[in-house]
Amino acid sequence: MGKILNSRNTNRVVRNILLLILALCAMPFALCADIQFEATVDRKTVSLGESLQLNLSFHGTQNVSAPDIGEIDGFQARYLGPSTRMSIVNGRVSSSITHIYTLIPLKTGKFEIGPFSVVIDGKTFTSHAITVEVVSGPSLPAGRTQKPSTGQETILEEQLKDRIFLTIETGKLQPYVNESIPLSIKLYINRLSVRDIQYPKFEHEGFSIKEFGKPKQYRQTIGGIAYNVIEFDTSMFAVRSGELSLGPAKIVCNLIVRKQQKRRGSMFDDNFFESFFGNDIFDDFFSRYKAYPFQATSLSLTVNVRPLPNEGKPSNFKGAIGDFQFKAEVSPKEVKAGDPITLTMIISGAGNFDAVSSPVLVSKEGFKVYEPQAKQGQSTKVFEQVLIPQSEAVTEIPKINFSFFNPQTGEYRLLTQGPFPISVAKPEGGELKIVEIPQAVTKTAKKELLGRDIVYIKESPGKLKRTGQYLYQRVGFWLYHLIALIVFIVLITFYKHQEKLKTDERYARRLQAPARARKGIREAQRFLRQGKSGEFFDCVYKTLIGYLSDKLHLPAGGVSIDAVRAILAAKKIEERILNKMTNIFSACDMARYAPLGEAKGKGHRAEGVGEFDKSKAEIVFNDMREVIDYLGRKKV
Amino acid sequence: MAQRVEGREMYKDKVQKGRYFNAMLFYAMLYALCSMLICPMLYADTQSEFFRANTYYSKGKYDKAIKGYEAVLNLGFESGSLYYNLGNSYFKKGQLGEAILNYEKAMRLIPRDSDLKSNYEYARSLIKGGIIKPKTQWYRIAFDRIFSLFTIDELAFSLAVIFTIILLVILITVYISPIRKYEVGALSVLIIIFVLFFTALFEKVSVVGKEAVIIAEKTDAKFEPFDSATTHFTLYEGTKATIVLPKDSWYKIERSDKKTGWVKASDLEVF
Repeated sequence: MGKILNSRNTNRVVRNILLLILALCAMPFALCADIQFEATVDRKTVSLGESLQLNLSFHGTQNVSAPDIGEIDGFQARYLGPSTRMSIVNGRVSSSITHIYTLIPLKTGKFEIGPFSVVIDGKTFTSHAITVEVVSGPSLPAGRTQKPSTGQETILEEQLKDRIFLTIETGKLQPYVNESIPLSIKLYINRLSVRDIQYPKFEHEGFSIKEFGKPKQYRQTIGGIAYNVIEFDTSMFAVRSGELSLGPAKIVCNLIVRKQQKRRGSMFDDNFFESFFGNDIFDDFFSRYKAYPFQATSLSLTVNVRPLPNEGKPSNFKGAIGDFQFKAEVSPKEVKAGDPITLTMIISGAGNFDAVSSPVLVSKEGFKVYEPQAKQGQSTKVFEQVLIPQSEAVTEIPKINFSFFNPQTGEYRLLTQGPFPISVAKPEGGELKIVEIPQAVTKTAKKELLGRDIVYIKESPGKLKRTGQYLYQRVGFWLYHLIALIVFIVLITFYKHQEKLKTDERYARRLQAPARARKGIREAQRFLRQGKSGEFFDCVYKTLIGYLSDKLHLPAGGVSIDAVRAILAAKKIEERILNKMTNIFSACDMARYAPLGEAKGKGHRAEGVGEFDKSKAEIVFNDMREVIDYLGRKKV
Repeated sequence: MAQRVEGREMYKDKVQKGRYFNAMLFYAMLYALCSMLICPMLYADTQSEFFRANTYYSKGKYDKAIKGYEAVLNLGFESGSLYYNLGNSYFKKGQLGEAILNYEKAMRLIPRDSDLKSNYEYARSLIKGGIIKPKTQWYRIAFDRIFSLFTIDELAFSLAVIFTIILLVILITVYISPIRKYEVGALSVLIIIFVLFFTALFEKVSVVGKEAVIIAEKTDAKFEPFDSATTHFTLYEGTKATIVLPKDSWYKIERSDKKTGWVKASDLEVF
């Protein structure tokens, strides 16, 4: 007991010194404030062995000594000391003094504390009476820490219903549909350390809820108990009428609870450490505090949502509910036809701005009107609408109507702005063109429904042909292909032949041999007719040698009768032909080399030879033809 | 004497032979003359008959129009427009089977005609049993689509042209050696085209006279060529089928989904 007194006082001494300085300065002002007297306790249920704190607060003054509270039934009272407080809010100074007593319950049962009466400056102030229940059951801190080893154990809400609870409130229990009403969810905490408070969650079917703002935190006294309150505020509106249920709201948080320490089992430890070591580092350091997940649950609310009355509903009412002001501006007021004018419409006031839609122009004649763009603020909604006057005949922007329902009065209201006079000049470049979005054009081109029937008959019979006769059945068709193929084969063969003549000498010689031989035979015949013996035999020799060398593919210079005979004999040439060939060659040799001597002997060569050779030459000539013919036929 | 007689006989023979030859020549000339004269006459006839039938059609006298168009056909002439107009007349008369038959015939002659295509498709859409579309491979569909644009004559002509081009390409590459390196590529492309055209022509020619259109309002394809046979499936007026086998007064037909059955010859018309 002495310990806690010491620590409290140590704490307070520092504070008091500071406050005293302030209080001294503020004292003259503070005196003139009204005095209020209030009695509070820190809890309403207390078990035996625990202590209860009774605060007697005097607001508006600090010049009050500790009142004598006398004997309180069922409690042993002890004065702990005064606590002064001074605050300056907006230049207003308020001061207070709280005298703190500790009440130690002596027996179980319900006890009434107070009312207390204090006389200050001759005036008597009386507080409310506070009912406190003293129970014998296990005290709360002990209950919390019955199984500290499990760690994750949650704490029953029931056990803490006086020390932490949640409420849900709406500004109105009978709102209209779409009416914006405030919603607040408050978490009351009494002498508990709570961390990691999450935003509330709750059932809200039929309501549209805005996001919660930053929670407010303040102190509030209910039934003589001081609570720390965490308040979550937002606004909401019902989207349909009828009895709608809201909540229960739930908040999840962590309760910081000291682990039970047997050696420090003092009933004041709880209070002591909460006030002294409100610090995580200490918690972790000593590992004596533990976070327990906890869920606070509120009651649920029933909201009776009323539909909007049909009576007096303006035709252009679009669902705006609240109390609004309407202002409209036009700029510029002097334009050329086809230039845009911006119409700015500002709706301000209080209400559900989500349900506020753009005010409407009474008439859109002469204008091309674009969809308004909306900007929504906290308590205003601004609509910007672009209007394009289509001709210079337009002189004003017509009236703009905005109607809303005022839930306070339960009536509809119609606000009107304008008409706004404007001056429209002729557009430059004569013709006015308003650029249409091509999309709009395609939209109008709906799927066309076509009638179905057959197409009309042909006027002309077209190409009449014999029934059942086809091109491929005609002889000419196939003849064409045949001729084309023949021409093709001929051309290819000719090419191959040409190519062979160029590349294959043997082939070429063999092929040319008969032609050359014929040429030689013709020449020899001519010489024979002319009686030119030397030339005749020369020609015969050359022709035959040429023919043989071409046929047998021998070098023209190196043909000897013996070699030819040997080759031809191997090719099974008749002996008769070979003999004839030999005879021709020998005759030629004789004629070519002998006549020189003959001529010398006879004196005149030409005549002698002619006479002598005529018949023999004819035989040689015929033999040569026979040999060439034979060899040609034989295809050597 | 005998020799003389023989000679006279021979002379007679010669004269007779000459007469015979003369007669043949005469008849040949007569035939040529006639055909020269008659053909244009016939042709002019067909023309006027056609226009007369058109007039009947425009007046809504479809029976007379049909008679007119068929008169032209009976003269031994045909044309795509003729079959088209005849199909239209039958369509207007309400004979869907005959209409589709004539559109099919027209398809063989003027396959690229848009009016014909439109009427043919519309007529086919009115077939009661619906059009059975067998599942075919994409290349088969592509092949049919391309070659359905050509008539038999056009395909034959194209083949002749491609054939000539192939020969020319070979010749050119043989004679002009610098372009010989392109020979294989060009020839393979040409030969593929040739084979495709040849296949198309072959298929088209082979179905001539083997396709049929149901002209009865409704007919049963049976398992056997008897009236008492079990019905396999039912064919509706305008359905196209392929003749597999003729037997007496029955035809074994194959539907586009390869189902076969025997149908009475009087219920369909072959084209």
